[in-house]
Amino acid sequence: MDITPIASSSSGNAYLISDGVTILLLEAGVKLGKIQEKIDLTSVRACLITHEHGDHAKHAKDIAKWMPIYSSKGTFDCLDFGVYNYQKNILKAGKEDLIGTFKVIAFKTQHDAKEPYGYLLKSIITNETLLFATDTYYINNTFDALDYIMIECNYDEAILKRRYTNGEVSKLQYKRLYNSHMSLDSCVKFFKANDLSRLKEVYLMHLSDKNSNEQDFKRKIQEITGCMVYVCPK
Amino acid sequence: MENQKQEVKKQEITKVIEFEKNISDSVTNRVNQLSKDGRLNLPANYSVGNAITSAWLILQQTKDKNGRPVLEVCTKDSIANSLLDMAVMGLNPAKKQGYFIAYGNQLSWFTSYFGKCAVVKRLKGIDYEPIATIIYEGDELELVHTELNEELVINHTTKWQNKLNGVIAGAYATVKQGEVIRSAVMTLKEIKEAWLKNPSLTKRDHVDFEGEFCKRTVINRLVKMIVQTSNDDDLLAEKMIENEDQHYDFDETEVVEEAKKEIELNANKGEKVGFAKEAPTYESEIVVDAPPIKQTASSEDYKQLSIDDDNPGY
Repeated sequence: MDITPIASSSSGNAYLISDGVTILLLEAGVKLGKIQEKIDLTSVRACLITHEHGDHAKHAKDIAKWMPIYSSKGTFDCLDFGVYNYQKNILKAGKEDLIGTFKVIAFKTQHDAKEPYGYLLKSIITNETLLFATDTYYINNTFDALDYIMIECNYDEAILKRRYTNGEVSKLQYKRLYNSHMSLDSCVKFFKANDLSRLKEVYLMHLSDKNSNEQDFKRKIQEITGCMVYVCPK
Repeated sequence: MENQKQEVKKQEITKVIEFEKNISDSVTNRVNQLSKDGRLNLPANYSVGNAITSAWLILQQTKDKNGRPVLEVCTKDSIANSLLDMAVMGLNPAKKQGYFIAYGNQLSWFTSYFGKCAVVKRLKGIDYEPIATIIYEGDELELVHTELNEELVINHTTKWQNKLNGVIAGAYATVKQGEVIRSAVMTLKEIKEAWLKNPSLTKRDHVDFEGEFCKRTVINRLVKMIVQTSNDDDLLAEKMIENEDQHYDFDETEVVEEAKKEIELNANKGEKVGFAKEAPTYESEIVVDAPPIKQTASSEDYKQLSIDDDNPGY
């Protein structure tokens, strides 16, 4: 499986995954031009969106001109597709679906959005599974053996606390982070709770600009997983 | 070409930051100047900086009726003036004490009901907020005129049964200003006429919570009279809502502890998600090889960087 992060931060998210036959776009938070730098949009089979916040779905309407969009009902309720309404495809949590050569199961994530999803994908070509979970402060489910994991690792509690005491983070933001994004600790716990025997690559997403330490995060996750960890570029 | 694009983007970002800084600075300076001249005396616990910061956060998300961001649509002057309006009254939009509304390219500050209550409490001689009482059909009232020739209810006897019947006949509000009691009395007809004047009021709320909205309307009437006829000296507030921090009312440690407990309790405890072992039959699809995703120099770089890392950390 080929994973290409395009952007990963609170100002925009988009990732491309390909199993050699089907290419999927995950998230629609960057301008079309930026995606087109990497791929001809006509060759992308579909776009999956996790939730309606701007950094994940701002350009969904533009992308709907090119391909079908998959997401939860709650997310679609908050988005306007205008005449491209017919491109909406509602996924039900826990139900298996097929998009191109990818099998997809959506699962619920924990975020301050209407109905946020994470996705478990399996290519029927390569037989590899990929977990995609971002903007969630924990993941309730556990998963069968995973080959690739793309997970949010937003902040380090120690750094956040220090910045909060220094007054660099507002109280509102401080409170929100705990209830909406994944800390390094929660991320580590996630890896410990799941079967990593088949794991090949890990992609850490959505690192906070200032509340995180890229090298430190990477090292910690590498220590647990024992495989290559990439930090998605902002 | 690429460099040029980046340069333009950089300039745009600095422009936005400078724009914010300029306006915030000029409003803060103006308020400080007014305070210095003795024309404005903001309460000690009102922080102009904080109010403007929260206002700025709200402004970034405020849109005009066409759905365009007001910061792009409205003139710089009107933005500064609306912020100044807010700051002079010592109000904070984060406490819902007012809203920014765009009329065409003019941004204006609209003081809300809560804002008016906050302002009236800052006037000299007013220590408590105005209280409104509802008059039900069947209540007995004695109405007199005060020394200011304002209508004042001096005797109001009601019965529980009248409240139960729930037929509202009117409402009155009073507030003590020094030794004088200021008052406003309105019949239900007058209240409803006032509602009709404002098409933006959601009718549904006014039907569902008629009593509460009657109280608000009559307090509004009273406060308007007092605030707008006060001379400017009185606007020098002696008292604002107890503490600036109160609107961040939540206790952050509690929130954090709760979130942690929730994570502890639920994380990775749910059912296992996986694909069915036997592959379900799918309708056959035409299989075409996908083109490779272009790896631009930058993305190559980042992968390279990851591999050549000095501390792989194993």
